[in-house]
Amino acid sequence: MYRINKNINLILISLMFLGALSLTYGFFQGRMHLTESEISKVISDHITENKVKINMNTDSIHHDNSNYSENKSHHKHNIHSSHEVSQEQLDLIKYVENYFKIKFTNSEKIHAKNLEHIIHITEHALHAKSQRPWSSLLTATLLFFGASLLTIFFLALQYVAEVGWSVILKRVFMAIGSFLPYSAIFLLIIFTTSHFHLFGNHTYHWMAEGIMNPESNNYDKIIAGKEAYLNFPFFILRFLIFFLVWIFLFNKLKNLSLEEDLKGGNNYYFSSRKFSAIFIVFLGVSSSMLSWDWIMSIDTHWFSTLFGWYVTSSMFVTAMLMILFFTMHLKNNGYLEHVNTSHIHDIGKFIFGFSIFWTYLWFAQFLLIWYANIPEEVTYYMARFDDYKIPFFTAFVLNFLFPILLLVSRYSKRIPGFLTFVSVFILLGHYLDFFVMIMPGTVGSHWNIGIVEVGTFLGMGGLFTKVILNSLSKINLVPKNHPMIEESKNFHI
Amino acid sequence: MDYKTIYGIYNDDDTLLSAVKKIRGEGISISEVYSPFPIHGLDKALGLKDTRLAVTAFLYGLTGLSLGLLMMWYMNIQSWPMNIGGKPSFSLLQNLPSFIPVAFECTVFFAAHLMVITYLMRCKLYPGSSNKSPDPRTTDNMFLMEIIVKADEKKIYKLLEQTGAVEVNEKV
Repeated sequence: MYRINKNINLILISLMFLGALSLTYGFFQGRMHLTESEISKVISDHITENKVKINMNTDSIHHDNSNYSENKSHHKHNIHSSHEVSQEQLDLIKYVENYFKIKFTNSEKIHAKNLEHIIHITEHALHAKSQRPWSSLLTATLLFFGASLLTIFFLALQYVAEVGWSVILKRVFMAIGSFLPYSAIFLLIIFTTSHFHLFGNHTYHWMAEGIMNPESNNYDKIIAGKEAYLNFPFFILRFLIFFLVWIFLFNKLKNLSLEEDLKGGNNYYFSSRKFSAIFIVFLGVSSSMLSWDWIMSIDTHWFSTLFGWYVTSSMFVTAMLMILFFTMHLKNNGYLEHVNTSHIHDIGKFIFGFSIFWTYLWFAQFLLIWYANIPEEVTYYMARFDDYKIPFFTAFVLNFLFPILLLVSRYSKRIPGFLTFVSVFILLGHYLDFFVMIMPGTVGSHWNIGIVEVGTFLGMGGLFTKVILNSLSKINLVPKNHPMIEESKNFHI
Repeated sequence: MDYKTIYGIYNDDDTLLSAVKKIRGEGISISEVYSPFPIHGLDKALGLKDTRLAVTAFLYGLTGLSLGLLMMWYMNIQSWPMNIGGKPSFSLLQNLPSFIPVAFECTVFFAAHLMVITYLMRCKLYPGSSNKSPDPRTTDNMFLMEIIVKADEKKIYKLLEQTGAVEVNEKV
């Protein structure tokens, strides 16, 4: 039986506290939910007080909040229609930045030619600011949720493929899977607040008010065409069905394994295999759909047919990293004495192999869009290349070059310390991968990896670790009557 | 070649594996083992050095990668400049994404084929090469251990019989 070390417990609780604190800080920072007219009033007051001369020419701009491509095009249009930015205008921009505690990007400053534009970008920046904690929460939740879900997949895979080597690690898989309900709570909070636009949550553009209503200013014909799939009741229904089925099947597998410990016999193994097969088939569908629902629908206009696999491969690598971390933690603390270099080597192979698989999908998605060069598709990558170059390519380096250069050799996978060291970087790489999937569509160019993002990541990681260590301390670490337990204990390659 | 060569023939792979361990434990070196199938753990028991084939595979892969890129550069940039994906940039670096699949295939092609060829060369296997096994039964149901006698011949005989050899022959 595993017992949590007091110091580790303290560290985890303080991490969770830190996460909650930084999230609160993020909400505090983004507390200003002003409408356009309120912003306009503040700025006009300043102008009349200080007699600022500014180009009041209001060649009207379409009110469109978060569609990147259309913003882009009207910025371009304005380069031609207005003249140079004067010193007074720059001073005004500076005043606005200081007043609302926001920061404009350089391209925004250059393109802010008239008053309406300044109001417009101010609204954008404030919007992004209140959105930031939500986006970071979603990123961190999805990262750890994915690790948990795909670990259950890996567990199911062991039954379906009748694998012997991993049997002594089975309880580690089960412990990691137990984070699933917790992530459901966080996701549910994010989805419902986004639907009701509470606390500045505007994660999903298609949930915006009136976007499907032809009479509204917000009406978007393309998004309205997706109403049959992208509507809140169906969205939540899918969410609930997914989680209920996953949790039901996972608990079934868990209970069968625990009963097997007590009673023995091969029947538990055979029925576990049946439930595993159902789980894998269900996950085949639900993993793609969850990627469309929870991530791809952020960039509502855009779609990619292999997005589901791409997200799932990212989640699978994260799952293998978590399996490695918890196995190493247990091993280093004197548990799981039968785990040897060969087991670690096999986990390393999965990390290596699926990192390459991730790269394949990452690149395949990019190549087709890059080659076809269709405007409605390339907007996705335009946003990432313009504003997210650093995290976008860092994710590539960490998720592809690190594993292929450092883990390709047999020896490096057989040194647990080295493998763990590389794995930490791969984990960061996959965080950045999710970051680059979620941020551009929600906060646009106003992203940052600051207190909010790091704190939320650490906090969620703390909660994840705490849940798993708690779960580990409740079950036998090694299954007793599994038919292939001896093979696993004597595994060597 | 003044040394005598002895063949110990076994009929079970587990017996052979433990025999190899025992005989090597006695300080007698085994020059070769012939088996109809690969035996798990035998290379370690025989004290064979790890294969360097992986290193060559990496180098062959790099060769394939560079040759693939060179080929694409010559065909699509140098000799017949192509407008790739509606981006008439005519530079290798800017068109790199579209060359990656070809470069990847070349990497795999070179690594795989050259690795097989290297392996066959190292094993001296080529069309028309002669059979190296001293006993044809090693391709069927027997395992053969070849020892070149450098020290006590009687001890080797005894050891081979003790460890379960069904037959002990001398090289004619």
